[in-house]
Amino acid sequence: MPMTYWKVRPYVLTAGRTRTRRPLLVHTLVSVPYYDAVFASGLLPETRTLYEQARGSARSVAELSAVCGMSLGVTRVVVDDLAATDRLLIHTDHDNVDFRLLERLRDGLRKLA
Amino acid sequence: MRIMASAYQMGSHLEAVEADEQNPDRLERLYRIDHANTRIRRHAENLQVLLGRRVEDANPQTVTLVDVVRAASSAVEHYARIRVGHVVDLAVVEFAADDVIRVLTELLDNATRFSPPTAPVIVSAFITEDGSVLLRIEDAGVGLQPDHLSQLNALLNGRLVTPATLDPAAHLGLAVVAHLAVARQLRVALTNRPSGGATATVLVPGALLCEIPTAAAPAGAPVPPAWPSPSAGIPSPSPGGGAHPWSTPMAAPHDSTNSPTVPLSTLPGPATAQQPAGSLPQRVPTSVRDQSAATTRPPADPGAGSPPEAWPDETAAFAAGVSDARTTSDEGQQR
Repeated sequence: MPMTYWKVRPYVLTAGRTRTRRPLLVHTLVSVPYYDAVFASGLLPETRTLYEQARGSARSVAELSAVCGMSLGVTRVVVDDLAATDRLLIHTDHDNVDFRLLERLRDGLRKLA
Repeated sequence: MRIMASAYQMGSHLEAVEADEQNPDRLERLYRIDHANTRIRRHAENLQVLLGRRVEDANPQTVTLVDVVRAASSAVEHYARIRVGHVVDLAVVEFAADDVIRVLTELLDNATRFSPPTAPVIVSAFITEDGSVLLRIEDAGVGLQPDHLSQLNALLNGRLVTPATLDPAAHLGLAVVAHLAVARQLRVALTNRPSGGATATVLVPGALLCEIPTAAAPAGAPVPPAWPSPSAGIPSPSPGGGAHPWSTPMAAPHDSTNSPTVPLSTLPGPATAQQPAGSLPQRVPTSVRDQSAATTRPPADPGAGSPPEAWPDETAAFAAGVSDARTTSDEGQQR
């Protein structure tokens, strides 16, 4: 896991920002719509790792935070910045939630309980 | 000295709290506290420098130039205006990294302080013909008066300037820069740009530079640090007890200064040899898996239901199954 040098404080990675334009939960999925190697090479190390990690399949914000060695608060802002320039696609929560599957899962769990 | 120690402590506490904080408002306030604390640390370190003492670095390590720039920005009051331009992919060696960061901090502080509050300050790093690196800080301020400029450059070159016009208290930061520049043989210069604004340059000699250690590369692959230690269970052919012949090739590719792997591989064997046998094959690379399956089985392994001869085949099959499962689904249950 790439670790940022300890003297690089987290606020520097986001220029002090903590808010995001869109709500980003820990389980919000993001993915790279089209991978641009030139764009990636111009990114800062953590951002580049994040961009490359989200390239294969959709990854959750929490997952990316762990893989990139950034705290959740920083990851959110970085993801949000990339999404603002359409480099990263944020999947809205209802896109891939199968309610019938969840209901069946809930019923199954109730039976077990 | 004590202030520094407290600031270090506070920094690590803050880091832990920041990592857990989910609320943006509270996180922002934490960032402000962290920022103030980082500046306290910077000033405490600068006092040490001005007193002619060495600032002791608790954990010296090779730092990439990008991180040097960002670490320097961390301690600057108006850090949000600093933009990182093109920075060459090199690192500063461990014994000089902290000093380069301090020099850059003071120059960035000057640049942000003496330029319009909305204008960005751009910092970049280029490699030069003779292998040194030129750090460049460009601001959009009004520049400096010519006579003042020459005085400051004389100060930065280590010459003793004590004219009445140069107030020592107003140039504490540059005094720190001058001190460190002489100690580390950095060439620091301030220039005015005809188009407006000033540029500060730091020439970092090639002797203080190195390639970025490979362990810091964004590989993301899990390293098998704890694995060589169960060698205690093997009938070891090595004469010395400590260094096992094939524990060193595993640890060697990782940078020795990035120490996390080193203490782990020198852990006392019995501590990890008591792990449940099933957890071992998980992080063994394919190239050595068969070898490990053939040799790491101590005959007196607890819970050996089958005869010892059957063990290698079973573990090899198990390891193969695990790696198959991993390749097919990342999130699937592994066991």
